[in-house]
This record gives sequence, C-alpha cells and structure tokens, in this order.
Amino acid sequence: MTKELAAVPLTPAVFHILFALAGGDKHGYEIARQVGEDSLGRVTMGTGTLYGSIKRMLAEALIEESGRRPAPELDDERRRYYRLTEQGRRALEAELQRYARVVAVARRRDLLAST
Amino acid sequence: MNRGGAGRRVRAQRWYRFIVRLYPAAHRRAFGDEMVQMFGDHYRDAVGSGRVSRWRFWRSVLADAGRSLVTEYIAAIRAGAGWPGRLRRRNRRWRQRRSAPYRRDAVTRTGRPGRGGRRGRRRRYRRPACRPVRVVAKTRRHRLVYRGRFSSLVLLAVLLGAVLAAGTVTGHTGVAAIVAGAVVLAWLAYRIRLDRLVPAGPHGDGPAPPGGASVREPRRPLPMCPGGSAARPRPDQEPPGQAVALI
Repeated sequence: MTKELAAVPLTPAVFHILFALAGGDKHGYEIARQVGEDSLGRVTMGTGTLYGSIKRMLAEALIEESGRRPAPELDDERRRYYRLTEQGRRALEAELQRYARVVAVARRRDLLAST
Repeated sequence: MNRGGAGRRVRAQRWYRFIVRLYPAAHRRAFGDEMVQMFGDHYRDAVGSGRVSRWRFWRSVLADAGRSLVTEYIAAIRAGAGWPGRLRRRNRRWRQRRSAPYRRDAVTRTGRPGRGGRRGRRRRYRRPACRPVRVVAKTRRHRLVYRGRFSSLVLLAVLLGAVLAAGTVTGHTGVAAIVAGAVVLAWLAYRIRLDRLVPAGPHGDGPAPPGGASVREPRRPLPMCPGGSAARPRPDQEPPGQAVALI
C-alpha cells in the first residue's frame, strides 16, 4: 500500500476541508463556508473543529500555508490562506475513487436509486 | 450591521477569546487569533444578519468548543506538549523512581536474578502498577484516601464537562445529569477507600496471640565458646596457642 493510500479513508472533517480547498486557496472562514455550500448546509464546521483539523493536516503535509494573497483592498493581513499540497491532492483523489467504487457496487446491487 | 450589532460582536469576540484561552498553549499560539477572527466573521454572518438566534449560535459554538477542547488536550497529551505532557512525563519519572530498586537487581521469570530469559533477552521485573494514595479525611480510627493521580482527576472533570455540555446542547439536561452522577459515583467507588487505622503495638488493637507470649525470637544456634572443644587441642597434638581445624 502506498503512503498516500494509507491515509484513506479520511475523516469527514479532513475530507471536507480537502474538498473545499480543491477549488483554490482559502482562509479559515472561507473553508467553513465552502464546506457548508458543498454539503448543502448539512455539514457545519465550527471554529474549534476546523482549526484542529487544519493543525493536523499541516502536520501531515496534506495542506500548506499559501504565499499568494488576494488584492490588498480585499485582504486582511491577519488571515492565513491555505492550499492543497500534492500529497493532499492525491489523498483526496484516492478518497473520491473509494467513494466512486462504493457507489458503483451499490448501483450494481440496486441499493442506490439511479438519479 | 448597525453600531449596536458591532458592539455585540466585539463583546462576543471577547467572550470567545476566553474560550480560546482554554486550549493548549501551542494550539492557542498557532491559531488563537485566527480562531477569534473567524468567530467574529461567523457571528456577523449568522447573528448579525438575523439568520440565527444568538442562543442557537452560542449553543453550537459551545458544543464545538467542548468537543475540540477534549480532542486537542488528548492530542497534546499524546504529543507530550504543554502542561499535559509535563504532567505525563512527571508521572513517568515518578513511576520509574518507584520501581528503580526492583530494576537494579532484575529478576527473571525463572527466578534467577540478572540472567537473560528466553532467547537470552534480559527480562526485567516489572512492578505491578501502583497508585499514589492521598488522604482526603482522617479521624482517630479511620481515614478516607484517594487512590489515583491528579491527572486522572482532571480528565474526569473534562469528561463531566463534556457530558453536561452535550446534554445542554442536545436539550437532554436531565439525562446528562444522571449520566454525570453515575460517572461520579463509579469513580468514587473505584478511587476512594476507607482505611481502618490500627494502633501501633505488638498486637494491634486485637487480642494477644494464644499463649500470651509477645514477639518470640527464632531459635538461634548458641555461639561457639572461644575456649570450647573446637579450640581445645587433643592431647597428642601441639600445645595450646595453635588452632586446629576439625573436619
């Protein structure tokens, strides 16, 4: 088993953060809002949970602090922006492939209504 | 947001800063300011826009803080950082000191001290885990002792806080109180002991042993007399003054 696949399955919080960051660099609150949008409001990520997950993901090199910042009129210097690392992108892909396999099996067994 | 709303937001951020202070120092230093800022943004978008009531907002914030506090402290204890780590290291040193005399002359399972066990590996005697005893209350004949570590008491307090917070958030306060009470009772039954004190003396506070004798010394061989038969020469040997070994 490769190192990237060893991290799969990801915890829901880590998966949602990786999924949110797949669209581009974001700061903490933007990530939380994106998670709410992606999950159609079903997942709300609190501040403590979000920064706890960010800390662990930084330690595991799934994300990193981004050097790029938006335009100065839109920027707040106190904010930190995060982005996916290559390892984080691979972990997200592996997790999505795992979901896709599960969905395919569920379809084959008629467990999932086709949409 | 109007001026009153902005003032409320600043006050709410001040309260949240207090909550952030409860996190482990390393986490607080790394993300404390960002967390307060994100909280302010969240407050503005949720409560300031009237989308969520203040009560509901604070309820979700406290539930999230309770969960993440427990998670962060467990992570800090595992990583050995901050005061949880110091406490753990101190406990480990304390245990090592307690078992040091046993470790010096290591005893194998075969009962041969200082020799290797299976495959020639040195198997050390491990003293069974012991718990420190602290006297909680004491009378003339009894004493109430707490057998455990301070860190486990802190963990119990955190656990109770989490249970009560979860009960408050989900609206099952009664159930949470019953669970917390049961946890406390179980903890007390496990950790608190009532010891009976025995007065110092040869027989304790009980009757004297049968026969009425006090402490009896074991029989010892009589000392050999310096001028006894062993030292006395036989008539056909050298005169006194030279020792003779008897086989």
